[in-house]
Amino acid sequence: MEAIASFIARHETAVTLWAGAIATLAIYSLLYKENPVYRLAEHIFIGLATGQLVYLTWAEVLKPRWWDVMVEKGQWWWAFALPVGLMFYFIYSKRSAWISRLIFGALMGLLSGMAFQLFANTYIPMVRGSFKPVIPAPGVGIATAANNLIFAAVLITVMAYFFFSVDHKAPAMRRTAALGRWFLMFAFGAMFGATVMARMALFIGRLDFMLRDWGPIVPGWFWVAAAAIGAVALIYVFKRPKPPTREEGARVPEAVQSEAVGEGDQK
Amino acid sequence: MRLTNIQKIDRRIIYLLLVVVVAVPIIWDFLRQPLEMSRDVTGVYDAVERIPKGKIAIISAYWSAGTLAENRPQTEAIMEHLFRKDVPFAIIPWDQLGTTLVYNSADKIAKEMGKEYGKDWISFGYQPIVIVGYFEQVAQAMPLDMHGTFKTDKFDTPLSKIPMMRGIRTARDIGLLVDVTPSGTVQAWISFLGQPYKVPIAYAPTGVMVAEGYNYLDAKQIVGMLPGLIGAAKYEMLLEERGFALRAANALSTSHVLIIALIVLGNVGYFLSRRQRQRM
Repeated sequence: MEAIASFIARHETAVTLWAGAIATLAIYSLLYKENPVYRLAEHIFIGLATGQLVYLTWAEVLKPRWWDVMVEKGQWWWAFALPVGLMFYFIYSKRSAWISRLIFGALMGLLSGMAFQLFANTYIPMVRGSFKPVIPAPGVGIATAANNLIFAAVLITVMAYFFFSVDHKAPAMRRTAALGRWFLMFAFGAMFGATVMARMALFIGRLDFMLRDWGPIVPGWFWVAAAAIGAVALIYVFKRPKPPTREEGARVPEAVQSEAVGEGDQK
Repeated sequence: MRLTNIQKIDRRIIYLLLVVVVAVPIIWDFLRQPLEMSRDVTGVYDAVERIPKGKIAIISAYWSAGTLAENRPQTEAIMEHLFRKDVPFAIIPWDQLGTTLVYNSADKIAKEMGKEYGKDWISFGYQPIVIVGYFEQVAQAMPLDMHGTFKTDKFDTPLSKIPMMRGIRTARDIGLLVDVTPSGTVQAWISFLGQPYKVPIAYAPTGVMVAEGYNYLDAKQIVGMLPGLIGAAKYEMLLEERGFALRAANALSTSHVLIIALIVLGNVGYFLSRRQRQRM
């Protein structure tokens, strides 16, 4: 064990880079197909993250803020936090679940109060900000006014789409709501585009790590071996017999089909 | 291959194409695409420039390995700017894995720029955002009493004994809060710090959250925003520092070209096969 520890200490950078590269390749192996290497990497990651969470919660939160204060500084009243926290677990007991409801009720009250402040401070300034001048005036250029007009048109039409107190059969309402729906579709498209961009960025980050951080420390023979394995894999993918398509499957002669059904029945 | 078979391209071939298209600009880094500066990014830059002497910046970092490629360059670009301006900053790490990552980033840049822990920057210990309501409670309590809220830094040193934190106690001592996050945490900062105490808030979200961020920007609830990796690349441009984000922006563009080409090809295949079916 000590030998491993001293080896890691001596080659810290190389070990870190190799571990990162192996983990990346293992996770991306899922892109080819589901496999045990991917599952192993996934479980290692979940285990590491959970272990780190438990350690940090104790070392950087509970120990300095609760345990040390209670035990070393003599503030014994912090001991009451433990039974209060444990009240949550009574939810698993049918007879004593009422105890958990007390603490859940207190938590809900606290969160509701905060949620009200969150809502008021987030959305009221947005509503206030939506009153924009749509007519050019001193300080409001033509371009700004045109932008504001587009903003107002989108706002009104989208709100009309979600306004169900008036029947949407009336042509004016129906067309306004339809336009609102179009604007919503544009917005969803933009959001989806941004999501694709974000996912690409994450992939680029990994590839940058593989090529610029890990790549330079990899010996030449490794690349040759990797290229050879890749070539063999490609040949295997393209040369292997393909399973019949749905149309081809449908053209299987009746005699063969009945034979296959018969075999299945025997099993 | 017939054109109608375009829709049936094996997904693994598409992945392989994507690897090639992304790898080429990363390896050779020859592309120099023009990046147009936008008001959202300059808003963050100007906010850092305007931080008065005697105030600190807070970096709220709720990111981890999963969004490292977007959030780390954003964090590092802002840290570098703060160090250049000699604005001390404190990091609030909210994620158990991100705690180490964001600390390592700050430590690396600090060493490169000759900055000192405790004098130029600090990191509060891990803040367990997983506890329901904890984030909101910290956002509410911090503007009133920073020392009482966090008590110690990452190394268990009381805040009162850290040179940078002497005289820094309330929202009045915060010149800017930067929220680097893949989540919607900025709402709490706006509600509990930005709106009541008029502390400028800058937002650095991942690409997924960008659309939501423009609402806050339009309502002037945030001073600026770094939209994903492109936001980080533009910030690097403003700092005249060519880092990962600018290099990756090229790869991002080439990957987008591939995706657009595949969407066009897929649609061509779809319409051709539909026409073929109609003829039959």
